Amino acid sequence: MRVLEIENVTKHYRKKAALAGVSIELDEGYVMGIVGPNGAGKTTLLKAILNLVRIDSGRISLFGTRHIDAERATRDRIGFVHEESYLYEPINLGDLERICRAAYTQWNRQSFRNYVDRFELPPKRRIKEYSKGMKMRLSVAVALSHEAELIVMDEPSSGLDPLVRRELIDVIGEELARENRTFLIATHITSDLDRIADYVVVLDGGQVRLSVTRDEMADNYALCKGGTEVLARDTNGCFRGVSRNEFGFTALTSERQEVAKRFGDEVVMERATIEDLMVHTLARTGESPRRDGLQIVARDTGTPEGASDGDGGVQ
Amino acid sequence: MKALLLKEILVQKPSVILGAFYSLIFFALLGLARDIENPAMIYALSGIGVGWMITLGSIGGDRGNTHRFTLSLPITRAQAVNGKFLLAVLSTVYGTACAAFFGGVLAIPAIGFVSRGINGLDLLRITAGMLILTGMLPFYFRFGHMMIRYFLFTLVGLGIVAQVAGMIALTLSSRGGRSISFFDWLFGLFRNSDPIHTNLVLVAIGAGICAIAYLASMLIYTRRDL
Repeated sequence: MRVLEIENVTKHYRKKAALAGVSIELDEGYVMGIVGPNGAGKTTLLKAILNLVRIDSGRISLFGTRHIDAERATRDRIGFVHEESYLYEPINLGDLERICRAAYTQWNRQSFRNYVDRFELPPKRRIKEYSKGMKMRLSVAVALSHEAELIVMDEPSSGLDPLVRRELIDVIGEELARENRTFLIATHITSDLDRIADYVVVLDGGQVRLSVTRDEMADNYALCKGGTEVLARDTNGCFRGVSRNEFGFTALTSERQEVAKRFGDEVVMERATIEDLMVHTLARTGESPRRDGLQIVARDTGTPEGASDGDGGVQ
Repeated sequence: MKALLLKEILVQKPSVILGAFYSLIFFALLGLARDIENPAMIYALSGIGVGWMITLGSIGGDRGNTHRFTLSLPITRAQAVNGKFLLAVLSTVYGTACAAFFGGVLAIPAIGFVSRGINGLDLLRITAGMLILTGMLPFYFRFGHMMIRYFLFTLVGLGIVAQVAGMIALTLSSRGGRSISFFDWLFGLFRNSDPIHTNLVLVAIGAGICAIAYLASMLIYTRRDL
């Protein structure tokens, strides 16, 4: 089932484009990571999904329904974790649960209690007395305790210590084991996504610069290192985001086999991380990265492996 | 709507309890006081004050952009607007009930508590005051709770300026040389007219302002980026 469909969405703040023709599709049961630098449009995109921000043009569909229609019903199926805590700070956890219980049709008290225990959240203390990590964990507990089918997280691990971040990733991993959970996570801490993302979208300047599946990354992408003399030859556009230093160059390739065939041992290839993907796709120094205005696709083809074939999955 | 009202009550629990407690004390003390020139008017104004204390408390409780969390729950923007206006109505009812009970019903001469003779017209005045003050809610929905503070400060400031300027102007224009308060002059206009007519006109003005405020709030909040 298609959980989220974003078609050519644009949003301007005054004259500046925050989103410039973004298209994304996400099917049930997958994790999509949206990465990009600060100001790339990640938060605006997530807010647009929840209609906290009104889009100028395009269309957003949630569970097959336009996001501004049946708003209440669709929000009931979404768990949203904001970048910052916007929780009601004067109250305690028990009062917050009462409000959520009244708001959601499928509030799961047992699930919430389990998360509260697991996250060691003090039930009697007012939320304003919680640390930043506690507030984030509470937000996650709320988002995961009402049988949400789509969980949207905006920088969930920003400002958290490594232990809490790891715990958060573990929780997401466990939730993924449940059949109908779909995650959309925007972050600039790309290492969080390395373990869990089925799809990665690189967003910059309000545009999708690149989109890949996890298996595409493993099969086709690599971080290449070699002497600068290699660059003097015809590289046939194999490298993107080339950075040079006194020892040689580093670049990203999406044509692993071609590079191996063409350059052999002259170029050393390593597994590319999501950070490599982002840094070299958005590189603003060295050779210009290939800006091909790709649009993301996460098609329901049974497994993420088949979601796209080379650039075939790109609109 | 249930979740919204529950949120208002729980978030404001301390201020609602304190507000209710202090308002009871305040009304009771007024009941004991004597030699008040216009007790019914004071009760009416106090009723408005109590009602607005709760509404403003609710607006203040939304600091920290909590409306973003509210709107990530299954609550629409229209419901959020309805919730705030409903709260204003409920707090008016509470303020009016306090005023009616202490000013009109409760009279225990044994302990010196006398009825202040609150009547239907005074209750109409409370309603009018509450309705007129809902005029500030569109500012809240457009600019947030901080703007309401500035709005109130500005309102109070303008009131003081009007009072002083009015006193000067009216004193200079009065041949007898007696200082006249601007608000005395303003209330004097009502004093000389038919009270039923005056209060009904005030309620009608209030209802008009409230209706415009509601429509404006709805228009603003359903279009605003959060």
